[in-house]
Amino acid sequence: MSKRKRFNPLEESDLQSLVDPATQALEGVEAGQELEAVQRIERLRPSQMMPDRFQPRRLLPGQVRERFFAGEIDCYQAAREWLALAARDPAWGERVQELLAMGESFESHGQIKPITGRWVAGREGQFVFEIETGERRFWAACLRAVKEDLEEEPWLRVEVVDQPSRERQVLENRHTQAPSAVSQACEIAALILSSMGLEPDPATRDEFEYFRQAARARVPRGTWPRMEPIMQLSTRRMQQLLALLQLPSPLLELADRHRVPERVLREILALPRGEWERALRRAVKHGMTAEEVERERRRRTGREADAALRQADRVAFQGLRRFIRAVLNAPAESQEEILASVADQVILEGLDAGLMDLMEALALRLQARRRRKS
Amino acid sequence: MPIVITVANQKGGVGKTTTAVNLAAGLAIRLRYESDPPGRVLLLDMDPQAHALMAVAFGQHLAPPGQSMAALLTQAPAPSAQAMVRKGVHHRNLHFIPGNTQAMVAARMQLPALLARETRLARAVGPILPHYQYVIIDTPPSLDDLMINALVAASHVLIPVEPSYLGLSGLKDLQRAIEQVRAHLNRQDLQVLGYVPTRCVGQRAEVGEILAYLEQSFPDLVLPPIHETTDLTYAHSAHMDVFTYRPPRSRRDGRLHSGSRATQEYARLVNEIVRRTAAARQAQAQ
Repeated sequence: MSKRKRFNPLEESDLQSLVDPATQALEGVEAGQELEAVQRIERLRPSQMMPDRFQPRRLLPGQVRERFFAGEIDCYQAAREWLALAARDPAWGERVQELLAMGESFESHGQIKPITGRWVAGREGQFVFEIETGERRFWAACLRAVKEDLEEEPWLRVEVVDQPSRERQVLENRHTQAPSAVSQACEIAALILSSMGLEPDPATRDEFEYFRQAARARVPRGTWPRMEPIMQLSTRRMQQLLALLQLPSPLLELADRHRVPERVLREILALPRGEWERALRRAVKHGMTAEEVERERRRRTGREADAALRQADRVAFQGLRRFIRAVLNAPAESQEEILASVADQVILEGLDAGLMDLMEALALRLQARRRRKS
Repeated sequence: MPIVITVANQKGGVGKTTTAVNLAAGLAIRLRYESDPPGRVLLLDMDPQAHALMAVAFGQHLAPPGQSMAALLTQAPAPSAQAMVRKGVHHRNLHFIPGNTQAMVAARMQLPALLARETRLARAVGPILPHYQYVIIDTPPSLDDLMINALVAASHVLIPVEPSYLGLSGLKDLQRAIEQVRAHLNRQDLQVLGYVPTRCVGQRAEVGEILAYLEQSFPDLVLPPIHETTDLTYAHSAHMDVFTYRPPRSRRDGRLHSGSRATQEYARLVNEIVRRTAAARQAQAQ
């Protein structure tokens, strides 16, 4: 039986020279190369986003903040805890009310301004949209979703930016609500650190510690004048604000939450370190002005001076009384020896000139009093 | 940048999807045992049917049009691919972008009228590629814009071939398309990784002859053959890759294969592909 011919399709046409060598290659695309010049507004859910931990203006309460950024709770659990905290603490209540009002305005008018940020790879390899500007809008949506018990996650308008910057964050903060003194101090620090190329270490537990680096750093020449138009503050004023970061982190948090003015904080910093907390709590509790804090500080330092004087007075008199009694109670023949011995020791210790002056002054005062008495 | 492998052949039923799924899963398993945190694999499905995704995360493999692969191809500027990426259910380091059959069919019709139609996939997924070690792209059985997009986005092409007369006859057109992409779309670095003989049936005399033709025509490019087995069919109907469907008793040291012939053959293919791309990976890492 003759074997049927089998054709090899690979031989049926020439696979070579399929390309015209004269063909001009077009401009191509390198994988991974970002070519989009146009920014795009997209819609994302809050669960796809994450606020920037090192945003100078802090919104989330410290108690909730740490657990949220550690990934222990999601944005909705954080919002729930924040609402509970706001019900107990009026300082938080006011801020939450503002954000809830903003959330409601999204419902009635839509979200006018998009959140900006960039995509980063998360811990588990998932992609997370890291917020550059618009953290208030993010929390407004989360708080409202929890408060209204919404079944579906809200959508937020976002714009992806290639290179987020601290400058944009600071400018955005300025365009919204006037930042607190502590926020301003953090903004100044963030700008300095950003200009020095010092990025935050994600392992840092205390975000204020990142900002404090600026207070310790030698600021490069020309940095302050460059910051003036962004912060709209003079260099001197910025330096005064930066000095506020000397306060320990819990006090900075307290001052930020209650929006304690910069001048009040400066008066508090003028007190001994051990008294900062008491003074700040008092200032917060009574809503004290800088003048009131200063008066209190002066009164307190004045009282201390009086007390110190009284203490020296008592000690000096007690010593003198012991000296008089010791000499007078001794037998007459020994008194001479005692005085000679005291004189020797005074000379030896070089106290003679001071003692003679004091004795002379004391003798004059005693004579005057005796004259008045007689 | 990762190794981006497009599994291509415009002939239908040659095992593109089976190869794409099992290659992606095999690489994901290997990477899981190679480093901590494990390297990641991304599976993209350019076939409107989205059958490859069914084996990766059935039930989560489809999404509304605006959040699916079709949006990446048709919207300008493209939406963020990062927002679409999902994790596979069998391998957490195997990620994918969900599909939408109707939207993808519509995209195929819209693409010819759109500007920069061949480079849309490459542009859209470009920002996420650095986060993956391997990207596997499954393609439709046609030489249309969807296929060309997959070729433009790739660094390597893997060609499953059914060892039959008809199985080989379409290769010329595919070769031509690859050359066109290299020349006209500035992808001179696009390499043919190899030809995988698939759906081999040992008893058919023609198979041996055709494998010989392939060896002769593409020396050093013919990869270990994959035989037609019931495990491959059943794995698909169980919405799994074959390594998950027929796992070994222990995955110690990233062992892929079990007693199943299908796992052994795909494990051999995975290892061969890792070997062949090692130099490229090393070069890219530097």
